[in-house]
Amino acid sequence: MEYVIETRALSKKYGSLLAVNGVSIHVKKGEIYGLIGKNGAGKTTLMRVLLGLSEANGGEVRLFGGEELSAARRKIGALIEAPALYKNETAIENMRRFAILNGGVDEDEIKALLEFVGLSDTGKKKAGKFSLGMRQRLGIAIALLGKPELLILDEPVNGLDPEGIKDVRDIIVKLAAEGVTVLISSHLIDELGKIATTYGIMNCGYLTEELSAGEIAEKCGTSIKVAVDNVEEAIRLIGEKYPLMKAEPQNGFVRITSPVYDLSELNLLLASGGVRVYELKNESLALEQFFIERMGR
Amino acid sequence: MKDLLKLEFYKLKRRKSFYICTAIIFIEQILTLISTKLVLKEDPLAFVYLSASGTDAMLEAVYSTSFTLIAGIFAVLFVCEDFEQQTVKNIISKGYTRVQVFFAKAISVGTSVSVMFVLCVLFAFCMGTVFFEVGEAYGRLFAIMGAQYLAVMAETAAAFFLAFLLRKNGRSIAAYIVTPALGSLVLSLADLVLDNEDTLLSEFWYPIFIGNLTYLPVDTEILTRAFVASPLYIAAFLGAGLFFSRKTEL
Repeated sequence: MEYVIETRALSKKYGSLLAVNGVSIHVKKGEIYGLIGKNGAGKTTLMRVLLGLSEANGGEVRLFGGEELSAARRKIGALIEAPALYKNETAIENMRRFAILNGGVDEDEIKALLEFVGLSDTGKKKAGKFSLGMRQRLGIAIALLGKPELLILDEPVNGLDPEGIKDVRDIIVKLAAEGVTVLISSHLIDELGKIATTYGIMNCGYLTEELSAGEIAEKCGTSIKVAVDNVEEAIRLIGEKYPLMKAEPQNGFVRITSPVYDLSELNLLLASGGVRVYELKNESLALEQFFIERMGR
Repeated sequence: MKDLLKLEFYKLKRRKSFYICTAIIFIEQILTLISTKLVLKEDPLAFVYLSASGTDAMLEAVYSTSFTLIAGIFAVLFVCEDFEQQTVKNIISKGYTRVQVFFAKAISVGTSVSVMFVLCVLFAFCMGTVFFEVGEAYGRLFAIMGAQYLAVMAETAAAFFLAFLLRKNGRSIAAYIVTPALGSLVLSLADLVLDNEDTLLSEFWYPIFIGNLTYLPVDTEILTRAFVASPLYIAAFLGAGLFFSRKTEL
């Protein structure tokens, strides 16, 4: 299978801190891949290594199925951390400069992109005087120059109002429909939940899980949360009595995702096995809660 | 690389500081010539030690103005802009390597300072001729101007290296101003310690070349030193700058 982005045991160290630790990510063509993790999980560092802004200490990066990295990066549009703009230049002048890097200045494309992001009427205002939202929009417009095949966006909706967030969401969905692959990180899990087709969860530099939207929908369906004093023993007992039941440890309790028809029997099983049960309830997991549990404390 | 060079020259063309720096040098030259004229009016015999011709003004164009300081500051501002504003991230993430960025900036800075040098020298010649006369065509005039050009490029290379090393305007300009004096002090101390009367290390320190190449007669030894040492300094500064730029986390 050819991936647009593939990393193999990628690592990046800052001093003694392993910011990215053996990450193997797989992004297919046309996907909207949502990278989720709390602050300091390694999302931005991973994106920086993909773009060549930081050098990896180990592992491998493959783009567009193994193309030469410099050539592959010409097909990428990116917005990493704060938008990097020429502060003493106008929006249109910023666009012109970066358009030169893309092979030439197409005034029609520039005007269309500025209109697309809602910055067509900034006139002679310098980018240094823009609000955070305006700078973010200009950063997105610059990332879209040259019709990239892959978009890498790090927190693209930072500083945007709800209308702006919706606009960015619509842009991403439209681009994905046109075959553009998108790798996006965001803290707004609900927003990501509306567009992402695949998720990668990062925690302390590790990529802990890669899940499709379908898999998440399944897992976020009704499940049973069992709070006990001995999780391992509880899972052993459940596994013995109900071999087909899916019971997993999760942050100090047991999560059962397969159907359980009689909760009282389950309670009896655990109690007679010497496991104290503090809580036993049916839950529908919200997407946010699903990810928070996996992002770690 | 072609597109990257196009961008650098596009930025250069639009850079107001290039025109302002050149204008400042022109103004300094005019003021120098005016003051020479006034001194000669008071003391006509002063022509013995004052330059009062187009060719003299051309020889002194760099030394009598703040050319090397202004050119160095311009180089720093031009290089550091992309680091200070982080726009170098956009360039690297488009697939351009740090080496390409380094050489694109080296070519554009080298070109702009070369243009400033030519304009400075030609303007000095024209103004010197207007204020006084054309002057003598010295035998080694072009060799001296060539050596001055190399010495100017050595100083610009120093500024360029410091800009890539420090990546901030303030720090780089401060380092550029302080480095000549610091280097001179260290080499003078080394000369004292080595106690070698034949070859003084301090005479090979690049900031003194321009002064030595300004007033006639210019020794063959001084000319040779500038022709040999300046390219070595340029290579050393560019090599060091390239080394540091490859290690840069952006």
